[in-house]
Amino acid sequence: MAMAELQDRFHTLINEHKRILYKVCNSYCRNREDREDLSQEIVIQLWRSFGTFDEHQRFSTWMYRVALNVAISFYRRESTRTRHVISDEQHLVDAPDQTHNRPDEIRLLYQFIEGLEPLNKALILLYLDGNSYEETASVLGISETNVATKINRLKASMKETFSGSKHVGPRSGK
Amino acid sequence: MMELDELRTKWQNQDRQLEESLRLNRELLSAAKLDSAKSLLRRDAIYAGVEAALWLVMVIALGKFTADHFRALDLCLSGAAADVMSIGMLVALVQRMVRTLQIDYTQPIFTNQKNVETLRILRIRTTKWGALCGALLWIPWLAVVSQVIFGVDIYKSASTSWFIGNALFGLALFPLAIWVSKKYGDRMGRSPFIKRLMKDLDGENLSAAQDFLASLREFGTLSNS
Repeated sequence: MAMAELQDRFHTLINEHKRILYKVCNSYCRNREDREDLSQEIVIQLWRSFGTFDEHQRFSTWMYRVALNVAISFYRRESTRTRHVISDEQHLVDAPDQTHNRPDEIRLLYQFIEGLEPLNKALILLYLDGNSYEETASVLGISETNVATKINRLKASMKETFSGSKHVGPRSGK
Repeated sequence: MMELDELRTKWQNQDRQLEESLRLNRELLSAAKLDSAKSLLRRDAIYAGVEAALWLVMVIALGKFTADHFRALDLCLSGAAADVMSIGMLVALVQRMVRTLQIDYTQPIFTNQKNVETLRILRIRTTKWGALCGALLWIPWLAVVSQVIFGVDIYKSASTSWFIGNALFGLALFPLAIWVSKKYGDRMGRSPFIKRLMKDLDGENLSAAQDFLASLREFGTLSNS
């Protein structure tokens, strides 16, 4: 595939799946500046790895793998990251007024996700997006049984969190 | 009371609205922008290459110094000790460079994160061992430097008290560095490099990396808890 063609294909696919970028960044970063840095790092890594993308695979599964790996590394990294790869004033993916227009349940869900440790964050994002246990297991690199067990635990934790308590955040997210 | 399954439906409905309102900055996705970012990554690789080249020069120079002072046992041993340390640093750096190149973000999260964290532990250990060896080999390094730069053999010219003082200083240097890192690590300097170095030295980064590896192992295995 010629370079121009490859870039076009990349742009189209990223545009079709931009919500993955948005949700991963929003789940792993609290402030806008970090979200911006993370979205840029994810896109750079997607572009660098795009040559190895197998067209027979689902792009969303592949994108989740790269995006979540970059997000977890970003989250884990000590404060040494190279910041602002691209100009500060520009934003890669923007959703005007999204944060304020979210229904309460979705806002609480984001708060719940925020309280989870990075690996469970990845798991719940994949689950909420409707990925099958098989796809989730393939992205995470763990068994399907393990995925099912962990999702059940998250469900229980979520139930406990949402039932009456004003505190929003996992009780047993690990 | 909301169940996770109900929330999943709401989440996916929200997705459809999100899809309409999300704006992707296509200009930032242009090849020029992505390639300039790639060049920053390349610059990091160049820094690592320059560092490795400097250690290689050091290894060769110290090897020559050791051979040149074959008849002066104290200088010869000092040169050899510094050379062994430089070889260790070079090997560790090359190992890190190779492992960094092997990091593949398209791998499953469990595998990739294990590799990333193992690499982080390798980097932290190299920093700690480098600092420890540098402090313990304070006198040999001093002897080599003073001989090369000033042509002065400190083993012949310095007094016993000077040696005792410097040996104690060398022994105290490492614990002192750890103490300073623990006490003032958060306050000292805005440079991320200094902060990381101090957290590497005081063990904070190492224990965080080990904890994450443990949680990763736990995540990868089925437990009844």
